[in-house]
Amino acid sequence: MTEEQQHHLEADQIALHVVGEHAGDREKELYSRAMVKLSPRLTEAEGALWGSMVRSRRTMAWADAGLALIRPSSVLRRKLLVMVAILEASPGFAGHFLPRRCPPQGALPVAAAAIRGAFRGVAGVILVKLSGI
Amino acid sequence: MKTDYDFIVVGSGATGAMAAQTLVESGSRVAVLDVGEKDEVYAPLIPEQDFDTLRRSDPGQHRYFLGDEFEGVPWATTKVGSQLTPPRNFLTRNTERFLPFESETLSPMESLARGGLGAGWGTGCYLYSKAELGAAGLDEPGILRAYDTVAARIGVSGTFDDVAPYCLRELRNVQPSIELEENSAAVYRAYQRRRAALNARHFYLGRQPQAVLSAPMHGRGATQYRDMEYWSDGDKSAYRSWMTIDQLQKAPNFTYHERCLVTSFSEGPSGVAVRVLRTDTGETQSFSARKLVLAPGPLGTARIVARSLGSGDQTMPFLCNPYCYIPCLQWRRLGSEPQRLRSSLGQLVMFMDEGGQNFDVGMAVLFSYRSLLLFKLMKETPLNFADARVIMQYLQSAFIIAGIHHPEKPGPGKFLRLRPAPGSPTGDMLTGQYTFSDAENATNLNRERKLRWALRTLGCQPLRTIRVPQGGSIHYAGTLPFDSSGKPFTLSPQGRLSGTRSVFVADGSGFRYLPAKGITFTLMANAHCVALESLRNE
Repeated sequence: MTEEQQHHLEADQIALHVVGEHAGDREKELYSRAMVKLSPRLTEAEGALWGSMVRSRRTMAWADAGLALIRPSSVLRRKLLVMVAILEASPGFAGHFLPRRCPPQGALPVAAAAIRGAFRGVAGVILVKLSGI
Repeated sequence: MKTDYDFIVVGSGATGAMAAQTLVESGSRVAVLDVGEKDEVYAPLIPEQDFDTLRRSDPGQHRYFLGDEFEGVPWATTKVGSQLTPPRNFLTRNTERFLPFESETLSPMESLARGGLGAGWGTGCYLYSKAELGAAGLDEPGILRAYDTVAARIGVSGTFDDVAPYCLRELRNVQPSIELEENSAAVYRAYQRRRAALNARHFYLGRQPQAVLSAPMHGRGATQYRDMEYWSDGDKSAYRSWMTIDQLQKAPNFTYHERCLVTSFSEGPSGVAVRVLRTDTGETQSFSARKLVLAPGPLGTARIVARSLGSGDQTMPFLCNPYCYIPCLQWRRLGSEPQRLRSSLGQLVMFMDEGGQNFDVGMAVLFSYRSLLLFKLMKETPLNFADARVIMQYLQSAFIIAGIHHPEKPGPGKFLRLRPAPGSPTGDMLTGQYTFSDAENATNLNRERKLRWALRTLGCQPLRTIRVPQGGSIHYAGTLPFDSSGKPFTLSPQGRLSGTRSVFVADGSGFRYLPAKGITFTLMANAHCVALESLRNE
């Protein structure tokens, strides 16, 4: 797999994790360009965890949550943030980021996300600690 | 000796532009010397549409929202200038190279841009009280007249409500306030309900006077409520100093020299010689004028004056408002209908006047959050990005950010010094120290605690207090304090540099006190007064 193909795969997995949709060609291309420009350097442990994150959506969610709690400045979070920013600045995904009015079921989606986030956080902290980062 | 110009003005920011306008209107031959960095990449890419429409339709938005080098995706911890969007990044371009600064306790932002830091001004207009003007060393009758002149030039919108004594006084030429966006409107309504309790504890809230047009003026249009103020000057409703420079360039007695970094001056029998380092070629150049008006900002003026007067190890005092911001959640706005057309700029301001003297007041400017993009908020949460996105999407319409400014006085731990630095293009580097006494720290923390109480009373639950490094308020002053004794490194009360006949300082270098209230409008008024004085002093 070329570096560009690897970047496209990463972009797609992050998009699935953050907005539940596949990334478009333009978003993958932008992510690849960003990675070449920013060239984030991963340690061996980070590289191993990143490989697992790209292979499994669940690992991606858990590791992201764990890193947010105990390693918020990790280079892995930076890779995720870049793709999040690219998605937000894409017309096809903008609806996932613009303000939404409260649904009929009130604060349920917010509460569900908070509970899910907390669970992922607990699992993620264990995962990140086990990964040796 | 025949001079090139009657007046040379250094800098094109809020003060340089205003001084230059006064001088040009007098009929004098005026030149502005400036580096003149500008954004030629992103501004042409931004369509004249509102934020919501752009986000849903423009496939090229990533270029100006994120930047071609992804410089709009900040990663470092909070630092001064990190709030600049890619189209505003030109404000600080080349400053590290040409304006080197070193300090462990101070991180000022400087600009070499056409329009200076004024190109990123938040547009809040505040008239100082009599006590504040006196403490700063400014002449009240003159400044009050100048406030009216400046308002007529740049356009100010505002409302004579509870905060008028703190920011509008009796200003003339005021347009009606722009339409209040809904999040701020909810806070304003809460204030009306809790007014008695808040006033009893000396808190006053009202519409922030702004240099934003609500009606057309001088060829500029009223705001189009595009919510793009952090990204573009598309509708030109918000005043920017470069607009004055653009206007002056149509006058036959005005010249704008760009790529000119003024390094020093020397006085001769018939005027002033000004030495310049060209930032494009690295060559030196010289200009002459009968008089010189310095307006590159207090740090820039400190450099030029220290070089010109041969300061040795001279220290110069420095003032900068302590600043922090407090993100809050306004519960009653949770999940409410998003508003498409609105303004991004802070539209409400709260003052805390415990002494009841309109002196040493604390100030909080209240902003809503949308157009700076959600990913920057998501990064700050302790959640994974997927869940953070869902939560923030619903909470976004309920966010209020309170920017807290404290008043500031000189102190022994607050100073600048120019030191040799052989590697720098000018051969020197400005250094500084900015530390507070325990009593100052305690006063500021106590003020923040009380402001958090007021925010809660308004229905805005503070989430955390985010401190930016000292320098983050971008309100600077006091390097050459007003002093009528004529001692070196001071200004006369009229703005003339001590020990010189023809050198005036039109920026905030002379201010001996910094009220919490934004300084820009008063800087412009003072620049007009100094320009008038330099004309009078013929």
